[in-house]
Amino acid sequence: MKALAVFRKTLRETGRDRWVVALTLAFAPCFVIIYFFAFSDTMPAYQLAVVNLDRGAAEADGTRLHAGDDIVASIAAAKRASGRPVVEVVAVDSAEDGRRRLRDHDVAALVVLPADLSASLLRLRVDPASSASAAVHLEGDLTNPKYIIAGTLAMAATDAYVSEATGRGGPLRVVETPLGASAERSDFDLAMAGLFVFAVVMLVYLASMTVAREVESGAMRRLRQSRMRALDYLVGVSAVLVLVAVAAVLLTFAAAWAFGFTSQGPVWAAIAVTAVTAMSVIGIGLMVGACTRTVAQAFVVANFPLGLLMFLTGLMFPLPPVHLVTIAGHGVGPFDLLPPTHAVVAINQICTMGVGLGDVWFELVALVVLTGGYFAAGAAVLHRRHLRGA
Amino acid sequence: MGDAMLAVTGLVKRYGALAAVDGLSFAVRPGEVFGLLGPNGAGKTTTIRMICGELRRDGGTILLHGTAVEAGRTDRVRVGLCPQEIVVWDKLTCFEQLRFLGEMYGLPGRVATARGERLLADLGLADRARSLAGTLSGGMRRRLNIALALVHDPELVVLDEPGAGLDPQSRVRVREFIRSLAQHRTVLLTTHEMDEAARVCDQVAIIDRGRLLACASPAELTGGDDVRHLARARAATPSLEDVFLSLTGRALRQ
Ligand SMILES: Nc1ncnc2c1ncn2[C@@H]1O[C@H](COP(=O)(O)OP(=O)(O)OP(=O)(O)O)[C@@H](O)[C@H]1O
Ligand SMILES: [Mg+2]
Repeated sequence: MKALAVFRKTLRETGRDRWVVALTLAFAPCFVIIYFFAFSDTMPAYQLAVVNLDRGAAEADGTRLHAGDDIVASIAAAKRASGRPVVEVVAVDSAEDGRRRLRDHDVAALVVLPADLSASLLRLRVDPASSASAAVHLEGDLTNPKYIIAGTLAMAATDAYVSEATGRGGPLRVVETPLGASAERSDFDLAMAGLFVFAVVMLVYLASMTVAREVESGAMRRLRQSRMRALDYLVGVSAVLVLVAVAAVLLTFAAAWAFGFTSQGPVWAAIAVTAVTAMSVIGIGLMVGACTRTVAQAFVVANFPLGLLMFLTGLMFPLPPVHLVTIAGHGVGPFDLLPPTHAVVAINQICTMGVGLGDVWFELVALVVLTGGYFAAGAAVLHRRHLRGA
Repeated sequence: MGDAMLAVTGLVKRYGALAAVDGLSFAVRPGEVFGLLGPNGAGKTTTIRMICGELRRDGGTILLHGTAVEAGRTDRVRVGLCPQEIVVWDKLTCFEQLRFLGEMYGLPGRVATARGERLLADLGLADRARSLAGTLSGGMRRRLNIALALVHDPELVVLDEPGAGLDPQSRVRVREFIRSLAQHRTVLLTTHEMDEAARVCDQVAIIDRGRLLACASPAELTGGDDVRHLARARAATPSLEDVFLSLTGRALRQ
């Protein structure tokens, strides 16, 4: 009953705070639009700089072999299982020029084809027992994950050409199979999973400020005099915040869909996961609000959990797994205490792999448990700091 | 003291080396308007906060209807506090916040509604019932602040400087309102306005530096033996302000 009174009151106050609500709702959809214009037509593609120094060599019948040109053409023509080009080849004049582009992240890897490439290949073709060998140089920034991928793909294409050109045939044939629907995903699609979670992570601010405002104005003192219980207050306030969260999530999905986002799995499942995530984020926000005395303080303090939620959960960029124990076949580590970790995994599974809600039960359970934990902690802090006698 | 609504004995509150309240004792009888008078920093608000169970005390006892008040365990429902600062919900209308607070005190919606409307009418805010508190003038906000202390119909009404920042019209209205409260309830208020205290209070306690200097009715204070010298000096009956300054202030002593 009292929770209902708090709900109605908070709904009125929040509804009258139009600017704050509008900004909270518009945040993620704005990012959808920015992402659309920045990434919509790029697939995960890798730029490869190639310096072709190959001088060519004359074959027995007098024709000239230009193995360097052939390799460049075959790398450029190589297609992945999705039918997309393996890499985009950028011809550069010198290794120095290539390195400059590497440093500027214009290209992911640099391949230098040596002057004696064609000559070596010809010798091998004539005499398979020959020890002829040409050094193909591969350079790149080892801290750039795109380097590993572009380099590997380029070398595989080169290998395939050499096997064919020398008539040896490769001992191995690699068949690529994309996981789920990953082949069809654009950079834009991939960014969306993070954005859906981002839409609700921002609620940390709104949640913490809602509580802090009540403390700062002294209204919490009045409520304490009425013997309000922390739980009534938190339930009433968070019910309003959940409404805002669901609106934010729906708007973000609608914006993504309008700009061409497609999900392999059921969208409602992704929305459900996001809604549960919102509850846990609200729990964290309420906890922050209960720890502070002023709105300004809440704003500054909220940045800390926000940073953790954004950067240690795979929301902004993938993180290496840190697992301490295994639960139900799932590795669990410290970052699993942050709800978005599970949300990002679950939404990726649904949108990219096309699974249903039943297949992400572990993440859902984790989210529900975390939500309960953060709410209980928030209620305890609120009670201790503001509702109990001083 | 047996029949006291509120009995405070040897109350102490320390902030480090400072004794904000230093062995204060007084008693408030039912149906009385009791004024706590003192200069800035005398310890009035601190005393009130301990009475309302908001602040832990370092010594002494507080009995409310014979029952001890512990920090955080007051029978808060029987006490209504109007804080010195204006504490209202700016984004709620006057009526909405009275109703909301009433519901938080466990009143049924109908009762909360009726009581909210009554209080707004009594305090001259009926015209602004549907205005957001954030759009009210300072004096109106102060009256709303008082109304919020009363939604749950407490037996003891505690008003910390209810008259601050009010125009003469509002002051008369609030004074009459406080007098009308005392018909069914007990009122404890603080003020700096001696004139106001003399008009509205049945009993006043003058305190300074956390200690009680005098406790009596305004008439007793202004006509008592202690202040006869004041009367002689001014060739007139001293006002409560004269008494107050003679007890607390340096100005008259110089
Ligand atoms: N939280 C606190 N920490 C330290 N000192 C405090 C605190 N609260 C009050 N004091 C001190 O206690 C003394 C009494 O303060 P109090 O607010 O009770 O005075 P007051 O009589 O209400 O004054 P005013 O008329 O100005 O409202 C003052 O010296 C004040 O500085
Ligand atoms: Mg005060």
